[in-house]
Amino acid sequence: MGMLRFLAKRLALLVLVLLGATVITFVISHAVPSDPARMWAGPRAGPTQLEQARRELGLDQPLYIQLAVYISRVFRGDLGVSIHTRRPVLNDIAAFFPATFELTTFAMIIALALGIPMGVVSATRRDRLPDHAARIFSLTGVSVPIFWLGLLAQLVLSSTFHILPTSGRVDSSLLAIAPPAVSGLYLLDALLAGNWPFFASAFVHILLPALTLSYASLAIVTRMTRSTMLEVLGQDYIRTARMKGLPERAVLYKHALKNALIPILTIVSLCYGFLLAGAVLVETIFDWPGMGLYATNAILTLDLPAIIGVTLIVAVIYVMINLVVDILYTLVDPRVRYD
Amino acid sequence: MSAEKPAPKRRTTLVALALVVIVIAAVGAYVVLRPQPQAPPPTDLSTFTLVNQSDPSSLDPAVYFDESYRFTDATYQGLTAITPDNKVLPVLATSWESNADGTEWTFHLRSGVKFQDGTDFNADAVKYSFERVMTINKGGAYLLTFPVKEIQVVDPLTVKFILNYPQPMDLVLAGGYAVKVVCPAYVKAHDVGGDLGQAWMTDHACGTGPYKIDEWVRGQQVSLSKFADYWGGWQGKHVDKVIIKIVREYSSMKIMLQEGSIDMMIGDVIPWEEIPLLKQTSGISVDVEPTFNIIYFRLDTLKPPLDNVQVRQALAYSFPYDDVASKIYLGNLKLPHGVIPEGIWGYDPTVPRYTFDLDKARSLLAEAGYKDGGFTLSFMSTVDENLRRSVELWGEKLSQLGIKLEPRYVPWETVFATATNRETQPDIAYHLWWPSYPDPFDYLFGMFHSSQDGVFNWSHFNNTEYDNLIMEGNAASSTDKQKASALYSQAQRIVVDAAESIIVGQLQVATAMKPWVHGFSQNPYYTTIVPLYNIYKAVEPAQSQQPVTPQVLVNAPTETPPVAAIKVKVTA
Repeated sequence: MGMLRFLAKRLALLVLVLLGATVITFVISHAVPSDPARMWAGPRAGPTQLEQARRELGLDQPLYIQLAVYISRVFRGDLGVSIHTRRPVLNDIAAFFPATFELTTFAMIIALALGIPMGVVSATRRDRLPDHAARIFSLTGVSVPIFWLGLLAQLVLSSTFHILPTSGRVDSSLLAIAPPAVSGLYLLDALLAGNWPFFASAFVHILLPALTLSYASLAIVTRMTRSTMLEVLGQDYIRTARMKGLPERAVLYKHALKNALIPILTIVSLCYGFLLAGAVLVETIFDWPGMGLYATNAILTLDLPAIIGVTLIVAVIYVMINLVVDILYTLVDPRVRYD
Repeated sequence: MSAEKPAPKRRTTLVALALVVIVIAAVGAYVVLRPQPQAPPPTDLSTFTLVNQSDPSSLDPAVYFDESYRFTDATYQGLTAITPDNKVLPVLATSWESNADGTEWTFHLRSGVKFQDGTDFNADAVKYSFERVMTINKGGAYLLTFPVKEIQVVDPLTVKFILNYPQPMDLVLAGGYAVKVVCPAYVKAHDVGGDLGQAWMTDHACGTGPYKIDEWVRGQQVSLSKFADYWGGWQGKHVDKVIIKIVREYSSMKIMLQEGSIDMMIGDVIPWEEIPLLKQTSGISVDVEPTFNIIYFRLDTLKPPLDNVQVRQALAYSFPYDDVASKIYLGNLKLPHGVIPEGIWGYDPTVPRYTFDLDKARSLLAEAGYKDGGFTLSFMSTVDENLRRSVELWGEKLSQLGIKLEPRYVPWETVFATATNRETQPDIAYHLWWPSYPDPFDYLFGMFHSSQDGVFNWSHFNNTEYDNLIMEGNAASSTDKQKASALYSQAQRIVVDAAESIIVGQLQVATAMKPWVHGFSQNPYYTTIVPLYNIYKAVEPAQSQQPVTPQVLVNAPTETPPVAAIKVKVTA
């Protein structure tokens, strides 16, 4: 029951984090000169239109009342109405979030699926060619600005060699036969519906943005795996396992990697937050209709409800990811216990 | 871990590194030097694919007041429209007349028009649509709420507007915003809690136009298909489907256009220096057209030293108009006379304009008592590379007069909010104006009438003679446009003389498209709208391409055939 108490504590903490994030974002965004009433009523609004808009948006109240109203609405699941799209912010986010989630998850999977094996190879072939190649690759990954990389990838792989599509989530002609939106993740929905042309197109379209987005995380995962593996491989119990006559693969994957995973898990949770941030740039370059794009537009048009809504959602995601990783620790390392 | 290291370790690494460098160099060389591939001719001539930089904000004509109209112009229509050469065309109205002083307007409506939901268009629909706009009271609603007292249905095909004051309703109803007719039955069926269908109509549409909006996939595209029962019919060449894709980055758009996966980039997105490059690219043609968009730098006439007209005139003489137009806007900025755009009715080339003359500026400053300048001016504008460079250039001239310019670049909403607040207002603020309806009064009233202080009269310009002249002109414009023009000319001279703002220039717009796109034209009254009804795709030999006559208009078939129709070679 220690676990349940732990979870309850963490969820209570989540509420506090959200409260803090809301207050801070609310106060900061009201410090920027803008007039949401005017945006709402239209650029050529006259005084009566503006008054009407101010009342509709509740802007005639003092700031602390506005904040209180907003917080009470959030707890009822109402994130307000976007001034630009005039839809409930929650609907907007629900429309755009799956695309970002799909992209960042795919990028995370690439980073792990490629990064861990590369890290292992790097550790076992230390100071030899594969290690040097991996290190150069990693260094480039964390140094190169992501938007430059994206544009370059687009230019070379798409425009010149026509290997992958330039932008978008799927071939626009296929949108007419889109599978029913169960999760909002095109790949998953297409698989569930058995819609292979759609799946193929969505897969081909996600590759370039996901690869671009994953590069930096891939680099970090590789380096992290390499160093933790090296550390673990120097431990006594590894020598014992080898002396016992276990095949190298069993030594590496059954004993060494499992123990190296804990710091890697930490990296995963950090990387996920980093990926969400990087998604903004990648989404812009590849026209990926996700939350990054929505957030950018909201910021550029000073759409306060949308800005605060996105901030809250990102805070929630971040906290949940951390929570999931903390729970995973207990699965990976039996020494870790929460009570 | 193995203790042994292979001997030629360093050499292997160097070889590997050299290989990597060679591969990258080879790829780079190929990318840069490769021959431009000829895009294959389009396989699907019946679908027209356009690209726009952002989603619409709303599809509801009663609400949006921005570029959303690019998406809905082929779906919604008004009673009239206007050509670039200032002829008012019948659209949903076939004829109209007003009473002697222009306070009552009767419009005779077109018969046999069907809405996209199959219901019939009639005067009740017009009354419903316009009253809906006025009740919702957002966006361009003021175009109706100010002048209109009552809308009367005289008979099913006749609607009468009773006005509060004389107003040229034939022009008001030709506007690009608000004054569009929506399907009453459709909207009423989607009314939620008395919202007049606002929630539904944000992303759905039903009008009388040639194309229906099938779907808006946010962040991705808007797809349209032809409305078979469109009143204008489908003789001649048209496309059956239109897809407007949302692509944010100009570089992506360019790649897509070169490949041929899109047919046209909606204008207003191409950087000026790209235009010559694009024109040289095979498989792309670029069309540059005038707009009625004018850039103003509004001066706060209440704040010293700008409260002194000589100081303002000095500023107007200090601006390097020709250099900005030729070097920064690369010739895509015209320098109009007066405060309204060249080409709009009422434009008067005899109204004086300021030219760059530093000596005159200097002497005016001296007369005003600021012989060596000695003051600082705050400037606020949106983030725009061309504006930034223009301001830099101007700042350099001003420093020669001893005046310091402090520019700040912020989002448009901030410019807006700051300029309308007397406490935070900068000395000089960037302002862009375009017609919300085809009438110079829109400019003259919106920006310079004393009642608009706190709205768009950012300079706090307050001149009774000016106010009277333009109100008289507006009253006259219902019945006597010549008289109105004369009055507007007089009014303009007052504003220009007061040097209330720096008239930076009038913009052009460049649209890039594939050579198989025909029927494109631009109408500065509806800038960047692509006349989808006139567009068709055909792969033709180069010599048979004729320039499109400007009479061919936005989504309305002309009553008489255009003078110089495109000659189409019929190939067997």
